[in-house]
Amino acid sequence: MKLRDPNDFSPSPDSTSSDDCDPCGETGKAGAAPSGHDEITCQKLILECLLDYESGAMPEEDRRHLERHFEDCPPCGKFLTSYRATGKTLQMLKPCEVPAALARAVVAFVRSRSGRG
Amino acid sequence: MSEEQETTDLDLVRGIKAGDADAFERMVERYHARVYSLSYGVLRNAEDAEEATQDAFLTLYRKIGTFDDTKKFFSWFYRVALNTAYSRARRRPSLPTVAIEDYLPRFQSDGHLAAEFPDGGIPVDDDAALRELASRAEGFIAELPPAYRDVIWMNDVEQMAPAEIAEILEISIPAFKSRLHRARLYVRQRLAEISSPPERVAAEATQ
Repeated sequence: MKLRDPNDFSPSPDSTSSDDCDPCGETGKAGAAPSGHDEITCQKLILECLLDYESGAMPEEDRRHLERHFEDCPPCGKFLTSYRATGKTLQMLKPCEVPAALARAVVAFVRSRSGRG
Repeated sequence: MSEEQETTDLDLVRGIKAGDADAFERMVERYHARVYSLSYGVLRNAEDAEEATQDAFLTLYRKIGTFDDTKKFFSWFYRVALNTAYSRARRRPSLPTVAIEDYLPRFQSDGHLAAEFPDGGIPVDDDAALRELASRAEGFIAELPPAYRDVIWMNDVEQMAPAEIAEILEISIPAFKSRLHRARLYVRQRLAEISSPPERVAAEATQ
C-alpha cells in the first residue's frame, strides 16, 4: 500500500484554498489582532495556522511571518517542537498487523452466510 | 488512488454483481487489510476487528447491488465498514470519551501562550521510547469522540488522502482540517503530560 505523508495536503485536487488560516489577520475575525505583520497572537497561530504551516500548503510570505514568530516566542517554539514530535509518534502507529488467515476466513464466512460466494 | 486501480475496482464490482466468486475473492484480497485496520481503530481489539471485517464483506456481498457504479467504490465500502465497526462497538460496554476542550492549549487573555504548559520532552530520537509513546497515543486516540477519532486515525495512522477521508465522512475539507488539528493538539497534550513529570516542569519553570 502506498502511504502518503500525513502532513502533505497539497496534492489533493479537491482541497479548498490553503490560506484559510489568514495569518496576517486581514479578514479581521472577532478577537483577532489588528491587521499587521507583527500582531499575530500565539492563540491564532496555534489554533488556526499550525496545520497549514506544517503541511507546506501556505504562501511563502505567510510562512516566513510565522517562522519569525516561532523564533521570537519561546513557548510557541517549544510548542512546535512537541507538535512535530506528536506527528512523529503517530507515524510509529502505521503498521497494523493483519491476521495471516484473515482473507481466507472472510471468504469462508461470507460463503457460509450467503449460501454461495 | 490510481486510475488503473479505480478501473479494476469497478471491474471487480461488476464481477461480484454478476455472481463471479473469483471477483469477490480478489476484492477481499485487495481490501481486507485496510478494512481490518479501520475496524481495529474503532474497536481496538483483534477479535472484534476480525469479526467486523467479516461482517463488512458480508454486507458488501449482500448490498453490492445498491452501489452506484458512478461513485467511488472504496469510499462507499469504507463507509459500510465504518458503520459495521461502530455498530459492533455499540453492542459492548462503551468507554467514556473525553471532552477535547479540556486538553487544548491555554492562552492568556491577550492571546499569548501560557508559558507553563507541560512541554514534551518527547524523545524524538529514541525509537524505543517513541514506540512506547505510540502505544499510549493509540489509547489517547481511542478516547476521542468518534468525529475526531476517525479523522486522525485515517489521516495519521492509515495515511489516507484528505479528500478521500472528507468524502467518506461526508464533511468539508475545512471541517476535516479543523478536526484533524484539534485531535492532534489533544494527543500532543496527553503525550506532553506523560513525557514531562511535574517536578521537571516545575524545575524548568524556575530556570
